[in-house]
Amino acid sequence: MSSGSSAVGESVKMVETTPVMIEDVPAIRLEGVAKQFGQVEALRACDLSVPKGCFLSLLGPSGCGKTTMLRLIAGFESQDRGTIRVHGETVDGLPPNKRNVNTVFQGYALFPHRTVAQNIAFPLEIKKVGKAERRERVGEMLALVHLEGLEERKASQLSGGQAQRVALARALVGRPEVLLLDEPLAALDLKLRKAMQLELRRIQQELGTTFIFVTHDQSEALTMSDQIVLMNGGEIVQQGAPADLYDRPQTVFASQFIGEANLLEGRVAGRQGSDLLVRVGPLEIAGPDSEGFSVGDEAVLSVRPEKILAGHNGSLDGLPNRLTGVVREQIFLGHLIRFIVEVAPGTNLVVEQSAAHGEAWAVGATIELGWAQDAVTVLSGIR
Amino acid sequence: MSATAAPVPAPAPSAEPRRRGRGHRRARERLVLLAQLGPITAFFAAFLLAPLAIFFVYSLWKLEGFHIVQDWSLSAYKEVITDPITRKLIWNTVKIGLGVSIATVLIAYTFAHVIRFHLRRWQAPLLFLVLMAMFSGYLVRIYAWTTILGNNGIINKTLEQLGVIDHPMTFLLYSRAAAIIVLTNFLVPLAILPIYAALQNVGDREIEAARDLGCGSRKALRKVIIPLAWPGIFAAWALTFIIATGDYITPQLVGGTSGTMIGQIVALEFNQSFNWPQGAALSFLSLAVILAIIGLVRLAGKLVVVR
Repeated sequence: MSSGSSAVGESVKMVETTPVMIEDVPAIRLEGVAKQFGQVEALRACDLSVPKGCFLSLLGPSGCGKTTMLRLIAGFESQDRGTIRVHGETVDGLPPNKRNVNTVFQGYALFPHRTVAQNIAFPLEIKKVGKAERRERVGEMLALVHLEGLEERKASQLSGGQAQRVALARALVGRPEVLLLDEPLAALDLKLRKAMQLELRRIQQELGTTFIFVTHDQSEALTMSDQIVLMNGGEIVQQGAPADLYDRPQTVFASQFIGEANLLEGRVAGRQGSDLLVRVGPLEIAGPDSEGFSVGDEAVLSVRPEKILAGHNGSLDGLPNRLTGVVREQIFLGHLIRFIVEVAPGTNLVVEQSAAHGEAWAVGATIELGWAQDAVTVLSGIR
Repeated sequence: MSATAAPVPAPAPSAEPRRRGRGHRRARERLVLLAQLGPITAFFAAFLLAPLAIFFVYSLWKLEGFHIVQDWSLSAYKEVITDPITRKLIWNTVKIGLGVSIATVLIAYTFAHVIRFHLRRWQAPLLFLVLMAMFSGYLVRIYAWTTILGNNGIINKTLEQLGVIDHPMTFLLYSRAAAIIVLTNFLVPLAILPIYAALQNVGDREIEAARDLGCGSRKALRKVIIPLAWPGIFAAWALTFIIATGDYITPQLVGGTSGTMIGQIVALEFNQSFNWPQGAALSFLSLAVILAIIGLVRLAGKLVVVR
């Protein structure tokens, strides 16, 4: 139950940042939802609140329970414990066709015996919407996903990107309250995926529908989301805006899974004003106290590679944290140059510099590193 | 010859052998194709097309006295078509064929659906049992049914002992119903296999998508599962319909008068009356009717089921 209460704390924090949504009923609400498959606990007492009109990503490694959560909301599985509400109404025990929630499947799951227009019209046909209205709404959807002219194409003759758009149009044509997307971009090549990310975001903003988007790709989640729910081992690790998760990870897992991080393990050695001093081998590094550490506690420092500045001859004198190190490796990434810098025997830091503006330090050079006080996060040692 | 050709500059000497090489390769590809398709084509030509052609020729001749006269006419067809008994028999055959094939497809579909969607863990053993049923002999099974349906059969004896009936139900055996029951029993395993194969190709995701988009489970069956499995269902239906309408042993052994089928008469014409022209004309007439019905069902499937 402890994870549950911390997740509730998260949703409270989230409401603070977006005061408009305070009195709004959340689009989706999970209360203590748990699901077990045989011996495997897929979800453990998850609490989640998704504001209306939000683009929310469920992010996590494979097997973290994100797809299970999606399937529970859609109604393909039923939870062992807990309650799921859509716009305040409980949907427990309702079959998928009785929930005003639609899904875009990973493999699109188009009906191969139907044309593009017939696929999109399918939910309207089932609801017995009149022919004229059906045609009009299918036309609207085709325009929304930019597929005009492909109405009569068989679903089996579409490219991956086109099939993706048809699946999206088919899921949206019935005007669901919430759209669930199960890694819909996974099968597309990188370029198409990037284009579809922006496209999905545009469509979501145009319609104002709540989107819940499952992905294991952190950069995808950062690009598209209003909110990210980070999951691991069947539990919600952290929920917040992308910048929140990136800049203020609350666990070592979060700091590692979203973006890259230098992690330095050590012990709290003392305080410096409101900051903590953490001893990492021979080094002593200051960072903001977030979790009420006391002296002697194990702590992990997390510093993003791009937040470390490199210089020499005292050019970084204004920064509170300064180290010297020797460049061990230089990796050219195109827009970035990545340096591996040894700051203490056996302790390396990854530093990234813009290839256009930074200096290309040679391997073997001794340089100074520094970072702003808020560039570092102190995390408890428990992973 | 070589002396006169010598002063002329050789016109692209490389072009000629290359073209020959390409022609060579094409010839070899043709040879391979022939080796692959040849045997089966020859088999069908020798054992299907040739006999059909021969009997077609016979159907255009006629019988005078006890001799076949090679006199080209449509008189055999005329006789067959105008004969009310033939028409009745063909109609009877179609009724039995439709009864058998529809019952067979319904039973086979139900079985295949259950093992595909509800008893996945038992798929392999249950399919094995289906195949086992096909191993048992055709005649043996017909005789087994006479002991079940007969006046002293299991059904009548059981019901008599339970006091439900006083006299055996004679209509169970030697009737159209008996022919339908026995043929259905024989054909169900044969129909399960194509239907099961087709259902294997219906993805769980497509079914979930149908449910997600508003279908109850019956609607999902009607709108997605059956249309997607339709090629297999249609194949199973056509196969069983052809076999059932062509059968002449089962109706002879259990069909009685109401279960008489056209195949019996065709056999009679060939074996006993030696009226080959009439027998051949009868065969082609029933073939045309059966193919027409299959064509109609195929069209109806396209218009109604797969939409």
